[in-house]
This record gives sequence, C-alpha cells and structure tokens, in this order.
Amino acid sequence: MRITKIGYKTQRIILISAFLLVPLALLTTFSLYPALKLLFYSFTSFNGLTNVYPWVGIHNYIEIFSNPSLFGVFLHNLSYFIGGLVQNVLALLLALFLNSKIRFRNGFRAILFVPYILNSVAIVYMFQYLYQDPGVLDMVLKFVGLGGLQADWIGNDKLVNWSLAFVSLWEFLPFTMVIYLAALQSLPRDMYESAVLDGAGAWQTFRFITLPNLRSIIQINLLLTVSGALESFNIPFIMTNAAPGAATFLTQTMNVAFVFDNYGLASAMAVVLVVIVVIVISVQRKLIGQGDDVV
Amino acid sequence: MKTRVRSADFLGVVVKYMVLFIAVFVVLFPLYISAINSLKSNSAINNLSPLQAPSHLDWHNYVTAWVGGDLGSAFFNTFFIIILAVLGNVILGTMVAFALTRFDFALKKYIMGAYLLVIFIPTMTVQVAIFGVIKDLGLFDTRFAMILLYLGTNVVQIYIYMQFIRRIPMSLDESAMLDGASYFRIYRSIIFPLLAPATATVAILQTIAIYNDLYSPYLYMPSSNLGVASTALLRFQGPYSDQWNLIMAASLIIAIPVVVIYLILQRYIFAGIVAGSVRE
Amino acid sequence: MKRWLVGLSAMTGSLALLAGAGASVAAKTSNAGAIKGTITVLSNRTDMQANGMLAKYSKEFEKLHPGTTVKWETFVDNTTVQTQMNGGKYPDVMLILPTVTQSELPDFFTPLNSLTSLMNKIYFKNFQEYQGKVYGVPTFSDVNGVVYNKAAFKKAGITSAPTTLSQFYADCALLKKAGIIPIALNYSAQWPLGNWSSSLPDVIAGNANYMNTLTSQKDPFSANTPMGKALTIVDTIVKNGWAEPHFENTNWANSKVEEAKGKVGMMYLGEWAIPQIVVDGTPSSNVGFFPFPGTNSHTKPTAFLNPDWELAVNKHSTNIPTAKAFVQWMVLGSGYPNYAGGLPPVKGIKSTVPQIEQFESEAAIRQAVPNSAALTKLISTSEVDLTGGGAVQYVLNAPNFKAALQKLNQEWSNAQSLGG
Repeated sequence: MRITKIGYKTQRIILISAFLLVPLALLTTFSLYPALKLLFYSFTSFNGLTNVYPWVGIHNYIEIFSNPSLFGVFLHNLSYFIGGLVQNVLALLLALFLNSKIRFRNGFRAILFVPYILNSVAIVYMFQYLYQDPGVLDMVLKFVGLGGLQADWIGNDKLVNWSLAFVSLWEFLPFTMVIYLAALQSLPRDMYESAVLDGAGAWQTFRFITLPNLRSIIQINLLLTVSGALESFNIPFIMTNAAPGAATFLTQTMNVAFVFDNYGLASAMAVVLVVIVVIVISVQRKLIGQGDDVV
Repeated sequence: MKTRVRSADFLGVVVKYMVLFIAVFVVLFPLYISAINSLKSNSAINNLSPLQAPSHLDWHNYVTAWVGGDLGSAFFNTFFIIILAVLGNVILGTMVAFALTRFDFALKKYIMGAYLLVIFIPTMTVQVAIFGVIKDLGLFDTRFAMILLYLGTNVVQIYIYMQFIRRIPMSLDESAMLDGASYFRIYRSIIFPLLAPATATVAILQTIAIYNDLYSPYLYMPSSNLGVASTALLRFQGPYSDQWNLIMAASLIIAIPVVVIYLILQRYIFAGIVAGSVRE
Repeated sequence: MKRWLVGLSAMTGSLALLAGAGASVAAKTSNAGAIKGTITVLSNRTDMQANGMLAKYSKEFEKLHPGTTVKWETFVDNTTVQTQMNGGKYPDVMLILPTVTQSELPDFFTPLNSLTSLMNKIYFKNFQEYQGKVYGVPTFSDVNGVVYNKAAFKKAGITSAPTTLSQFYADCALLKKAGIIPIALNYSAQWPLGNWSSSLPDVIAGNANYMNTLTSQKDPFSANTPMGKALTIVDTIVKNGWAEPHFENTNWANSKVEEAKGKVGMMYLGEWAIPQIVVDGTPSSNVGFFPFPGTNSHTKPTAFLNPDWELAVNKHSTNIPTAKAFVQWMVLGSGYPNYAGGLPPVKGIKSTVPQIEQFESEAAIRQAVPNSAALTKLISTSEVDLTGGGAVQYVLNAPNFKAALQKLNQEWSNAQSLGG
C-alpha cells in the first residue's frame, strides 16, 4: 500500500525497468549477443576451432550465391513445406469434426494430441523401425492389399524426404489441430445460428463464416509451418544422419561448419536462412492479409 | 426431400467418424508396434513378425534400458531443469508481457522486434557464441547452464501471455487503481491469476520444448551423470543399435512420464489453448 | 535502456573475470608432478560405458595410483566436442578430432615428450607431431581389410581369399549366386564408406603418401588414377548388385548381425570390426580378414597401418601429471588395444588376434603417412569429403558415375585455384 504514495508516473518507470531488466538481460546474453556474433563470424573465415577470426568481408556471401548446389537442398525442405500445408488442411478438417456434435469428443481429442507430447528422438526411433526395408509399413500395405505400394522408404532418394516429412506431420499435426479447434470453439454461436436461418449450407457457412474468422489463426499456423519447414533439422539428422538425399539447409549448414571447418561460411548460411524465413513470412502476411495482432 | 437430407446427414456422420477413427489408428499404431516389440525377448524379436504380439511378455528389456541407459539420473536432471526453467519462464514471461501490453514507452517497438527476431534464429547455429557466454558465467557442465539458456532463448510464451493480457479489460486495472492498488499489485493480484489458463499452455509447450532438446544438453552438460532424457536415448542407440526391442523399451520409458502428466493436466492445457486463441 | 545494456555486459564481464581468476588459482595450487586428484577422460565408446568396461578401467587406474579419480565422458557427435574445444572447456584426457590440423595441436594440447618410456616404445609419433613435439598417441593401430564370413565363402564355393581384383569380382559373383549379399557398404552410416576414398587409393598406388600428392595433381578423380580406380571399384560393386539390395538404406549395426549370420559375405572395414561381428553371434574362427586386392598384380596386396583415435592431454588441464600418467597407462597397461581387437601400437608387442596373424602372412604391411595439412585444407575448401565417406556417398548417389567424377575434379581444381 505504501508504494501508492509514489505517484503512478514514477511507479510506471520503476515497474517497466524492474520487470524488463532480468528478461532483457537474458535475451541479450543468450540470444541477441550470440546473433550479433553470428553476423560477425559470417564476415570471417573462422574455422570454429581456433580463436582466430580473419576478416574476409562479404566473401562468404558471394560464395553462397555463386554456388547453386548450396541452395539445391531447399528442394528437400520443400517436402517438409508441402507436408506442412497438408498438415494444416488435415488439422483444420479434424478440428471441424471435433467441433461438431460428436460422441467421445474429449476422448478423440486426448488421443489425437498424444504424438505432439512424445519425445522426438523416441518418435524418430519408432518410425525408423516402421520404415525398415522390408519393415512394418510394407507388411501393413501388403496386409491391406496395397502390396504394390511397398517401397524403400528411407533409401529411395525420391521418397526419403516425403517419408521424413510425414514423421514431421505426425509429430506436429496435433498441435496445429488443437489450435484450430480452440479457435473454432471460440467463434460466437449466434453467427452460425443466423446463417442457418438464412438457409446457408455447411459448405457456405464454412466458406463465408468459419474461414474468414480463422484468418489470423491460419496465419499463425502457417507461420509456424513455414519456419519449421525451412529450419527442419532433427528428423533428417537422427533418422538418416543427414545423407545427401535427405540433407536440409540446416543439416548442410552444420556440415559446412563442423565437417569442413568453415564456421564463417556456415554462419553466413545461417544469416541467409533467417533472411529467407523473414521474407517468406512477410510475403505470406501480405497474401493472407492483415492480422498483425498475432505476433 | 426430408429423408434425402437425412441420408446425406447420415453419410456425413459416417465419413466424420471414419476419418476420426483412421486418425486414431494412425496415431496409435506406431505406439502399439513399439509396445509389442519392446516386450519381446531377443529370440522373439528375431523370429516373430514385427506385427505379431509375443506369447509371453518379457519386461526384461525395460530393466536393461533403465540400467544401461542410466535413465534414472536422466529423468532427475530433466525434471530438475524443466521445473526451474518453466517456473522462470512463467514468472518472467508474465512480467514482460505485462510491461509490454499495459504501458507505452519509447523502446517498446524495438524490444518486441528483438523478441520476434529471436524466434527465427535456429539456436543450433549460434551455439559457438552461446558456449562462450556459458563458460564465462562459470556455468559449463551444470544444470543451471541449461536453465538460463532456456530462459534466454525460449520466448514464445511472451506472445501467448501478451495475447491474453490484451483481452483482460483495462477497466479492471483502472478500478484497482481507484482503490489505490500499485501497478505491481495489479500485476500480482489481478493479471497473474487471470493468466492461469495461459500458464497451463505455456507450461506444457515449454516442457515439451525442453524435453525434446537434444543438442544443447550434449554441449553444455557432457558429464555422464548429467544426462537428460533425449541424450540418454541418443547415447543408447550406439551400443544397442541392433536391438530394437531394447530401443523401443527405452523410447517408451522416455515417452511415458510426459504422457501421464499430460493426461492429468489435459483439461487445463486445452482450456488454456482455447482461451489463448480467441480473437479480439 | 542503453545504460542497462552497458551495465549488463559489465556484469557478465566481471563474472568472466571471476571465473578466470578461480581457474588460475586452482592451477597454481595443484601439486606439480604428483599423480593424484580427479581427471576427466573423453571416450567414443558409448558401448563400453553401457557395459561397465570404462568404469573398470577407472578402478584399475585408481588402484594403481591411490588418491586419483577417473571420470568418463562419452560423445556421439564430434560437433559438440569441437565447440567445447573452441570454448576452452574440454576433458583432461582428450581424443584428437579429425578436424584438428597439426599446426593447431599446440593450441589445445600439451606435449607428451616427457613420457619417455612411452615415447621409446610407440609407433606413429609423427601423426600428431608439430615442430618436434608429440601431442597425441594412438590407443591402438588399425589396418584396413575385408572382414568376411568363412562359412558364407564356403557355401559359395570359394576356397581361399582373393588376391587379385578380378578374383575379388569373381568371388562377389559367386556369393551373389549363392544367395548371399556379397559385400555390405553401409552407405547410410557414411563413415564406413571412407575407406574406399581415403585408404584404398593408397593401396592401389602402393604408396603410403599417395593421398598427399592429390593436392598438386590435376584431375585426380579421373577414372585412370588410383583414386578414380578406387571409386570405380565401389561403383562396380553397386552396379553389379553386389552391395545390399537397397544399398542406400542400410543399418550399420544390422549389417554386423547379418554378416555374423552369413547373410552378408564381406565388409571393407578394419580389424577392429572382427570382435564386434563375433559378439553379434558367430565363433571367432568363422570370421576371416584379408587385405583388399586393389589391383591385378600378383604380388602380395599392400596394407597400411594407421593409428586409431589418439589420446592427448588438455593444455588447460589443472591436473596434467595425472592426465599424462593415464594416457601412458591406457596405451601400455590397460589392455585396451586387445579388448578393441586392434593392433598394439607398441614396438615388440604382437597382436593376440588370430585373424591378424593370418592377415600378416597375406599382406605387405607398411606404416601409413599422416595426411598433410595441405590435403586437409584442400578437402575442407573443396568440400569433397574424402575421409568421412561423404565423397563416396556423392559418387554412388549421382545418376552418372563419369559426370560425378568430373564434378569432383572441377570442385577440386576450384579449391586448388583458391590457393588451398
């Protein structure tokens, strides 16, 4: 109570300072300062091992943009990106079903959320087992009469990234779904009631009421999906040891840094990656429209 | 006419349930396969089809996984780190969100920009620089290295809390101020309790993020007594990589505690997510 | 706000000073020369951590030197160790990562020349040496060759190990005919492919220094060079279906089991793989080991001895005497070379592994030469991963073998022109 004797103006200054001091100190120490260091390394030929930082100017950036093979792996990231779009569509569909009149709704929701909370190393091990050649997945396909679809899920270069993208979808779809479900549950009922009174069908209510109202949520989910796809690392790294057919931009960056001792170039690649993510997300925001209250 | 609508409805319902049951199957099938194969003896895993359940359940793999992977100390370290880091993230996250949503000040835009930028930087690529910081703070090879790291790099909760606070009417603050409450009191007695659902969401999100992190624990806590769940599991693959029954047992041991916590807390988790995603 | 930041960095700065001060005080007070206190040792053997062997070594050393404590750290990923080295925080007894060049040795390690009894007995001193000082000693030495299942050979009607390349190809065909996978390459694990591009070329050239001459050669990846011939051999194996049926999707651990069972005939690895295959379920007498017949000349195939992981002592260690004593004991006293199934790196001590005795009679064994700094640098600049198997993966993965070699030549000459 005594604090109130200090005017709200002074209090304001004290509170803002006090509340932000520690968090900003942490943010600066562990995120901003390392980010600046990354930027600095990108202009050097630092090898990641000895503490020597020979300045090379924009040489690393020139090398990135004059070496098309460094960008080639983005084709692999594309699988994760498309997988991410599919993930959003499926998640929205499941959320719509769960939001309708349905039995065992909480049971369905509880089970469908489970993959998201499993340890990701454990998930990769499970799928490694399923994907063996010949393995469980092949047996199941044969069992349901789709034996013709049996394949070498990890070894075949044309398939491997889709197999891995599916693992990513399996792991992260539940979260996307729950976000959509939550958003659907918070849409006001009366909007739908008046729409039904006006004779709107299921598709029309979805198209003209649900979808527009979900715009900002769709945007935030896509943002997570896009940055996730561009930065995928764990799944290809643990599952295939980042073999050439499954390398992503980030696994390749780590390879340049630690196998080829070129931490400077790898830092430049990381900077380029962040810039690409920011550009893609800005474009996406332009396309889908505003909704700047989210993030 | 009416019957036709009804049959269309009926068809819709059938499709709905079918899709949901297929989804449930896709979710549970890998877990089922892992479970039955984790319960097979060495000879059973080599001789039975992976789809076939063993005739007698061999819990031996769970014991071997627990002892060989030193999973006991891995769990202790993991939960020690999670509890302190999540607590810190909740307290600091609510403070930052409160200061950034309830007040306007000169640097606000830049601070929000900084938090946003940090989300897009893959932590892995900046580890060399972070390593220097951890070392200079004298925290290398301690659990506190991880706790501070997570406090400084996991920042999504700021956005979740900001979303929530924006939806708490200013009139609540104003009437408290008329009663003479200080800003700190408003934060502590009004805002913080109202954020409880968001806190449930934040807690589960952060727990999962920390539980899944495998690179930084390896880097900052190399001592063998400082393993965490992810690294214990990854270390496990080397010596036992040809023994799928053991790997599956270890994977399930690692997965189960979080599933249990989730089942207990799920009501709050979903409530938090629902409350958090409402548009203004 | 700005002032806060300054205050913050001042705070971290002073903390750093404190931490630094603490370390230097500890260094001064440690009893110079005495073998006591705690040391930490790095190991790549997660399996020996799980089966208690590492703990057993600790106990033995602690018994020999009362008052010491030995703690182990294992790693599965070089990158974490490298970051720790860059940050100056790494175990007292280290393994030297392949990315550390000779001129970088003094930055991280302390010379071991004072361990005179070890220095007089050991091979491979020149591998981790800089300006006359030795920084690393091998835990054991390796010789690359083909590890094979004798029963599988018998089943295919092969009576003796091949000594020429065409015999080797003929044996592959026989094994395939008998329903056996002739040779597992272990493509997915990547590192098992390294032999084809870093060891086999020397064998074909019959020159331990051949790899080092690549730095000055134009188009070393053309099909008629020893390097090109080595890559052609592995390509021939894949093209003829002599590798795993889905050679791009392999499981290293599983390959060992399959070879123990006789479903896989051969693997081109090193002698260290023999005990691992035995552990996976076959008597030692069923596993054979022969030098890779890289050419069709009728002299004994050449094989080169290489050091395995090398032990070194952290120059920042606060307990250098104990760390050095441990290195010496690990090589001379622990029995680790025989446990690992490698060749003892010590003069006058013979291997107890029967397969190696057989191998020694079939091969002209010579000591290898370390990779020159220039070669290591050129590999880094060109990003042609000759030592880790990445280049072989690239060649096997490419739709056109000839074009892949061309591409390697081009990347190599680009790097050469950058002054690599």
